[in-house]
Amino acid sequence: MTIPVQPTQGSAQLPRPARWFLLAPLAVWLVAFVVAPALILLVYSFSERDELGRVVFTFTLENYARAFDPVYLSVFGRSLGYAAATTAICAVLAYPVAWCMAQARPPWRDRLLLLVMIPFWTSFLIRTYAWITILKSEGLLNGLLLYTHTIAAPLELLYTPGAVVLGLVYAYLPFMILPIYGSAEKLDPALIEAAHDLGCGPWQSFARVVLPLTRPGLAAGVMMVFVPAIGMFAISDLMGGARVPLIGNVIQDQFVGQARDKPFGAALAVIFMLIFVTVYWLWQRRAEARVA
Amino acid sequence: MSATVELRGVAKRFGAVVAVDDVSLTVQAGEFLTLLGPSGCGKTTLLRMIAGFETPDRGAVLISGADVTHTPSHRRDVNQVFQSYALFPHLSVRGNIAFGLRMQRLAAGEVEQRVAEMLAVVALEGCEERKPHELSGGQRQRVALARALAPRPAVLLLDEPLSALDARLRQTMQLELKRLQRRVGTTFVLVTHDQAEALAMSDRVALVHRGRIEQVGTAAEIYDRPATAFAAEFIGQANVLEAEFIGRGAGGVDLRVNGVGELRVAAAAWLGDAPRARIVIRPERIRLEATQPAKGMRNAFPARVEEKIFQGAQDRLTLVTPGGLRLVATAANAGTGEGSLRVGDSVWCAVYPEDVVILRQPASGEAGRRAQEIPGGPGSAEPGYETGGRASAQGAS
Repeated sequence: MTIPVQPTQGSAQLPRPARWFLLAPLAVWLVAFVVAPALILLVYSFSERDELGRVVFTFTLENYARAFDPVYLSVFGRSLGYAAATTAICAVLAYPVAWCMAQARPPWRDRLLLLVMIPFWTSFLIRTYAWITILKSEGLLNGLLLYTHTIAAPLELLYTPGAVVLGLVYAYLPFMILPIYGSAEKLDPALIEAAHDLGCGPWQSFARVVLPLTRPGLAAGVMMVFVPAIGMFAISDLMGGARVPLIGNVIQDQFVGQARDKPFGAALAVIFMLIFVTVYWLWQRRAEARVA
Repeated sequence: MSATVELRGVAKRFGAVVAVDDVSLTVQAGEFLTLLGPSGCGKTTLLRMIAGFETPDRGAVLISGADVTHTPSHRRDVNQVFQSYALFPHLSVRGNIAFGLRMQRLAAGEVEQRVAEMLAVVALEGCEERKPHELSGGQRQRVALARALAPRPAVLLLDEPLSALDARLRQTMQLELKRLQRRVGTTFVLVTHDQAEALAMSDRVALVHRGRIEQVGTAAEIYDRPATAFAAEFIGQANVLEAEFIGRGAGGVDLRVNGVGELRVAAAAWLGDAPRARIVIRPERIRLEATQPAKGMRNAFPARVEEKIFQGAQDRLTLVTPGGLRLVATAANAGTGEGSLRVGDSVWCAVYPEDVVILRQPASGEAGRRAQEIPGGPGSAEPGYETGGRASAQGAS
């Protein structure tokens, strides 16, 4: 529902300098943490490096040209695929969980919400190492399967694309659950009853009423999972064993790894950022067009 | 006439709370029946059982003769108008009205035609493309009606459909709803706590109290012949008095009412051999005279005006008899001239024998329990006052 916003008179009552003064903290924060880093990256991306990996400030488009090398395009495509798979799996897993949480009685809601957030209490790296302990050749899962004679030899679970996706899904699932829960919780139960009343079975009422009305939550969840998943490097490093490098690994490698080519890393990051900004801008424009 | 909805001894409890307790009710085809009762009486649970949102613990629900007790709501030939309307916010008026039709897999042309038909019925032509949030409260209500009627259900259920509207619009919608029901001929079952709404619209009223049906009948039947003290007090205002049987006379029975004296009551039969019962006299059936009626006239007694409340067309009076009994009566607004009663004036009250209703001994429920609590000794004028006072409070709300 849109609430018509009246043009406010309030801001006109403050003198101009005072308004700027009130905005100053926000402006300082934005410059320090958003604008400045982006500018540094931008400047780097047009620079060169010397033999020691130091940045030499010139103006070249060489870095951008290199980014479109098939090697990097395939890495980019793989990242896109992994992130998409992660997002899709998260959405499928998150919906029932979020829905059950929204349907639960209030005291249970809070408890379930806490359960979803408990993983955040331990370091992300520790949790990833825990998965390694479970999945490695002599790990817990293989041990259990061998012990029960389900398998004869240890399965190769770790350092596979599956392991990377598993790690990504595990890391980002709560970021999908929470926004969907937020939308589902606001859904009037009478709407679902109305759908049943008008002849919808459980699936139809989900497709025709629940899904459309929780779409904002799903969209927010997709953004919150897809964007970090595509840039993730730690999980692909640890659980993929550097066999399946993602774009995040390539960029990381340029800055702190062996490649030591900060200008090229910066160029990859800028391209990346531009893609996201464009996608977000288009998405936002569509959302606005729908409201209008 | 055939039964469209039949409840057979249905019961439902939520935890320790008995919401519905052994209710049987039949709604005839084409009838407008109202489930009337205070909040928490179980009327909404009854409606939800018909809709299929609740399954009764015991008993059966039949719709058009078929047992649907365990049929989910989407397979029942029933549609509901929700209290909050529950219009789908992401769909236009057209999308909302067409929703049920699309679920019935009607052809697109047929859907279009029915939507147009329903829009005409609820006078919303031209609003097809609007979203629910762009409509006024009254318009949303009409969309909800159209959406529920479009699939042509055997029964239309209405859960307090007018409660969200302001008083003026509510009265208009009452008439509209009644007219609509006559026009489409669908069986309507409406739930409300508003007695005025029930009286204005229904063919029959089922009065629900504490999970049971207290009385079923036309509004006039319940008003003129209430079966229980609750029925008498919930619909309109009532003086509920304790009476003692003293004998039979010509055309009725003679009772003694504390604070009033002897009353002859036109009754075909007394309640078995019970020595006491409760009677109801409606305030407007107490006829007020300035002077004493002819000597020897029965059912006349003096009283004093203790309180007078202006209500527009009439004044509501609280009268006190010399015996200390308080009664509520009404007097037509006679202006400020002669004949208008003032506080402190003495009046004579007269009651026709046929205007007194003897309540059947309540079998259970609040009325029964209250009757037992009332001390039976002489001089206990308090019960009559108490119930009268409560009745006026309800009438004023």
